[in-house]
Amino acid sequence: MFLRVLSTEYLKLKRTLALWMILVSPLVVVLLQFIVSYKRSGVFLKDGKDIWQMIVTQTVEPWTILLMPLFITLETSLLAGLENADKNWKSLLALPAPRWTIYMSKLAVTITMLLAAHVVLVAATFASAVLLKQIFPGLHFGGMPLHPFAVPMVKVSVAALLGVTIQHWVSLRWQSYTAAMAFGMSVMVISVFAVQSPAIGPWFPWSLPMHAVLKGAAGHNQITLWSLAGATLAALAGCWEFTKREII
Amino acid sequence: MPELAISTTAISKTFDGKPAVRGVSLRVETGSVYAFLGPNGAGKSTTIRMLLGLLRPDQGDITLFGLDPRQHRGEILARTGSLVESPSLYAHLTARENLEIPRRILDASRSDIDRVLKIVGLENARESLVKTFSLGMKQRLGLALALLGNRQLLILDEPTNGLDPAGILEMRSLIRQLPTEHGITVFLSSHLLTEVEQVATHVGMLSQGEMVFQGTVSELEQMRRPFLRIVVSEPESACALLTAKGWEVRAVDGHLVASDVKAVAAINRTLVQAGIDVHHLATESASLEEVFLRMTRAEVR
Ligand SMILES: Nc1ncnc2c1ncn2[C@@H]1O[C@H](COP(=O)(O)OP(=O)(O)OP(=O)(O)O)[C@@H](O)[C@H]1O
Ligand SMILES: [Mg+2]
Repeated sequence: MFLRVLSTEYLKLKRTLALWMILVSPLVVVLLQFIVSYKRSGVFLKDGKDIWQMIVTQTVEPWTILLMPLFITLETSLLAGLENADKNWKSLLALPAPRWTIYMSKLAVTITMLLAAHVVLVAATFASAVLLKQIFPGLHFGGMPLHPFAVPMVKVSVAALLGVTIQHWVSLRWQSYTAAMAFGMSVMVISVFAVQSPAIGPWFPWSLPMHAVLKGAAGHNQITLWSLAGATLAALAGCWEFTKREII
Repeated sequence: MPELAISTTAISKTFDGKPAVRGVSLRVETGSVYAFLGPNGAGKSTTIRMLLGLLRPDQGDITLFGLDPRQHRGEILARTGSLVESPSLYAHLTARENLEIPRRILDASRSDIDRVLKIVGLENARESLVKTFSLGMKQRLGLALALLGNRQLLILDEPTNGLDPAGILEMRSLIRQLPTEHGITVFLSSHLLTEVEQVATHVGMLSQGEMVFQGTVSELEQMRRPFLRIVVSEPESACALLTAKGWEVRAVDGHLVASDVKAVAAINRTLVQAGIDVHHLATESASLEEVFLRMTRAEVR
């Protein structure tokens, strides 16, 4: 039953803005990165330094700090909006699918969308680097290894899970687009300050992705573990609340 | 004893200390078209949401097809289709895609989508986006959703809400054919008796959260109390005269209404002997709508 429900959740994404955002959000970052790299290519041409490391930083940092939190907030809100729009909960939950399958399917869809955006981000960054090489054949790309790019992206993906799981619950709990957006924006702003605190940074759910890619930050394993354990707990607690909820 | 599709024992629901449904015991027989009537705010939707497991009753038990929803939720909901108030549709999907969602959950066959679209007459709109649909088409698609799969019971909350007269007629003929042609029990709510009296076999009446009548339509017919309508030259003095003689008489719009229909000859004689001209004297019955109004209004305290 879970797989059948999951397939209906993917079907609902057809022709939605949410689906387009998977392409658009990473491409915004890659475009900005390309402009910066293009402008600085003169310097790199002159001293012959490896530009690939700078491209990766110019991609991972703005994505982790700005675009990804926006993406998560927007996608969870849009997904919840699909059901809130026509008061669809009353008919969806009057179908014989157990409620947990619906809650978990929607969470799975959100996580898939985040991972898909990361795949787009990595692919588009490689494409932009290839393009830059065409324009400035003299640029040095250090062989463009995947390693310095993939590792932080995997870390960010895992560290984001706790925030995603909580945001997912919030967007389904209050059937209002504005409430979910306001919540997402607030925690995003707070996380920027929280990440600077050694005491709060490694614990505040929305600071974890930033913390995971912070240069020289210790305790990466602890962040991964906390995000995974916290996400599991948050998913179970949210799911439990969802199955008990009265639909009015 | 007839088999019951829906049976509740004194279910109640309170919102923030305000009772919305009070001790409602429904008995809906398999194969019937049960009209659940009540004015706005009577508690119809609240009751229906409890039947579908969307709300939990504070008190009382619910059984559908003789099964307890707490243990057999999946089986009950697989056999029960619902359309609660406005239809819930995904506007960015086509009619077929909207049906594909419950089809997968119900594990029904693909051909079933065409079957239900044909029943509601939307086979030509199969691949159109729902946001281009008129309200009537949306309501029919909502009914198609409720019919998908192997549904034996339909729970419809104000299915004609927002429809024009032609749409209401169409919906009514659709509902009428369900028990006979498809063997489906229908439970539908309305705040207008006239809207359902032609399709219903059974009636339940709700007023301020309480059941004030439950029975067959013919049992309801018996509640239509006959009365005498009298048109006379001098209504005031006639009314005083008849009341003085011990009959129960009221003046309504310049006419007189007497409740004792057996006294028609005696009343006539009394009036004529007193020199009052009798222009009209006849036995009439209250319409079902009047019965409905009387029953639901009597509850207003
Ligand atoms: N979510 C809610 N919170 C608080 N009170 C509610 C809620 N839903 C319904 N009520 C109250 O419960 C009572 C019954 O409402 P309900 O919607 O069941 O009536 P109804 O018979 O369906 O009316 P209508 O014909 O207007 O649809 C009303 O007094 C209403 O104000
Ligand atoms: Mg209602």
